[in-house]
Amino acid sequence: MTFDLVLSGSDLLLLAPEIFLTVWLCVVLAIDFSIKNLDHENIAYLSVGGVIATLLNLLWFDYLGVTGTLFHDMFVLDRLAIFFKIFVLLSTVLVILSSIDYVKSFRFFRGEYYFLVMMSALGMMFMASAHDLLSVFVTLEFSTFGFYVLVAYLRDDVKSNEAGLKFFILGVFAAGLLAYGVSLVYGETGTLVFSEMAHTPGSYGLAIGFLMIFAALGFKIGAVPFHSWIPDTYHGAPTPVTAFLSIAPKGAAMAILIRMFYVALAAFKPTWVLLFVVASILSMTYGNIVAIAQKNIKRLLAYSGIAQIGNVLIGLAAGTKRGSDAILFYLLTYLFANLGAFAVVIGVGNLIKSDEIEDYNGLNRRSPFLAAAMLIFLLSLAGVPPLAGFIGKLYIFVAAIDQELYTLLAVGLINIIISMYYYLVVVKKMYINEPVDPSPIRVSIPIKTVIYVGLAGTLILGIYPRPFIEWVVAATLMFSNVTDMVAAALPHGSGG
Amino acid sequence: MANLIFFYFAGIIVLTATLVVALRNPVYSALSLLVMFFHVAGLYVTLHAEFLAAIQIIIYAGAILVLYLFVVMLLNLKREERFHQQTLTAALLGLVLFGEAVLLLASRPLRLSSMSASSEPNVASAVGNTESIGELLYSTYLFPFEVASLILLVAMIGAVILSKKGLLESKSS
Repeated sequence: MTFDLVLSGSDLLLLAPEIFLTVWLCVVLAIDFSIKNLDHENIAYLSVGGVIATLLNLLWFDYLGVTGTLFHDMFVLDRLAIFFKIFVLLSTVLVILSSIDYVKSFRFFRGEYYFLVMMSALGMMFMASAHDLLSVFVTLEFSTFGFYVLVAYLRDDVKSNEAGLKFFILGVFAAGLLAYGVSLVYGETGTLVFSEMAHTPGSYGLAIGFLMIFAALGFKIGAVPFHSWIPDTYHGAPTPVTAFLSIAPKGAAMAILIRMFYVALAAFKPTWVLLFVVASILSMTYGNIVAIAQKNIKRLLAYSGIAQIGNVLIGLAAGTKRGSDAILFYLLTYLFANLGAFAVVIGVGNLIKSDEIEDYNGLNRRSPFLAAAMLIFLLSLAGVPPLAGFIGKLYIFVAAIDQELYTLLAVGLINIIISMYYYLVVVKKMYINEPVDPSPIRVSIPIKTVIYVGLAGTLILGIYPRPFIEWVVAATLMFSNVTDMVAAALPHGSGG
Repeated sequence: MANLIFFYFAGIIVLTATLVVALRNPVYSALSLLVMFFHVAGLYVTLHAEFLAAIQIIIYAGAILVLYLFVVMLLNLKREERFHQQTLTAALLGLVLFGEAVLLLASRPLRLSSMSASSEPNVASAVGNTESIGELLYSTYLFPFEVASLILLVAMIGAVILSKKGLLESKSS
């Protein structure tokens, strides 16, 4: 056996964003350790600077069309990976900015907070590039590890501890399922790389293995029936961590799901479409119905997130190139509306120290800016034109109509109406009810920035979506033959 | 002969694994887990995976089990707090897993004889077991290997953050 690793400088260039971010976050950690009494705000801006530099690097790669694979196809940098890396880094920047005020209430380990946030982001960047089951396992655990600590960060808060413990135990269980599934798939196919699996015959082992992997990833994205950790974890975690948890890992896990089902399992599409139809219907309906009864805004957004993931899964159920385009675009609209809504929650929570929906009574009197921003974000989440959420939902539904998934479409439309109700209840409280304490709420500059970015994203994606649609269409170009593959493979592949 | 050795190891593994959940005293459970780990290592030896066998003993029997014992002894649970009734869940889950095992085994003929035959060392014999694993880790599987090192960094920092003593008391006073 020879030592067969060949890496040239140009190969390593593909890893440049990750390497840069790794070096940067080690520097941030070292600065935090070595300079005493350094204000944590400086660490935050240093972190934001590093993440933005990485983001620009990726945008430049996207512009130049840099693509390639490394380490025997284990790491792939294609436009899909670049899209999801930009997605993760964008949410990281917004989360760090909206954390700055919140972190002031921490009594210790303020600098390490930013380190862990960036570390999780790094893990999710690797997830976006994972192209074999071993890297999927390792990178998924990498990103989750940072979150285990972040969720339990408020050590003197029982709720945060409980959330962390719950998240940890269920997360480890999901990791066990993932490892077991990977071992079954490896036993059946003899390979770990997605593209090499594409032509294996179906078997029970393969089916059970991929079901396990789907369950583990379903846990990550919080789809019903793997959602049970979401409400308590979202409720107990520090609010900026909740915001981060509600968007970035879902995007990264979605990248893996798309790759796995579109590349490795393209031949078994008729079978797995059913899986996604069921998961999608359950997630949408359960999320929306339970959200109605919520009294806490973080729990409301948690359940609404479960419902939104149900919408995203419609795209996977369609299983076409257009389906994957729609997923990417939908996630983008969700990123801005969701992080914007969380920024408002953080801004309000920092001052009134409460996340109960009751305390949003008369928010319009106390801060017209926050109330108006929240209104736009909630309407976008509900899918009202001309906001981004409308285009996102439209795109997803068109993908479903293409595949004649009319049941799914009907359930989706009914769910929009249900979701409209509980979003508008919050709006009513903000605008019509009288405030108990009419003192004005002042918003700090970093949170204002996040809200402005969220507003800009929500409005631009809604009014002028063309460049973004072109971007997501280009990002999934490699799936344009996914339906042909199904047609070619159908005669051999008996349903797995 | 090879079959006999396999069935010895497999039988003890099944027996001790059952004891882990059946025994009422957690310390005994941990000890039967220890016996199980040693027999799994024995299985690895019969498959010519000596390195894995050594790792199995060092990491599982040496490190992880000691951690279990620490937890069991530190928590010092009272007898009645140790158990929760989960018979129904356990029965359902067990049924699912059993059905799955039957499905997997029924979908293809059992190949016990070929198992011992295929365990002939093909790559490993040329350079030795440990060397070939080392080479693979630093060539084909370099990417997951390096990512794992970053996981250790996160775990280290996280452990300090979550468990450093004396912070709550000193800052609040």
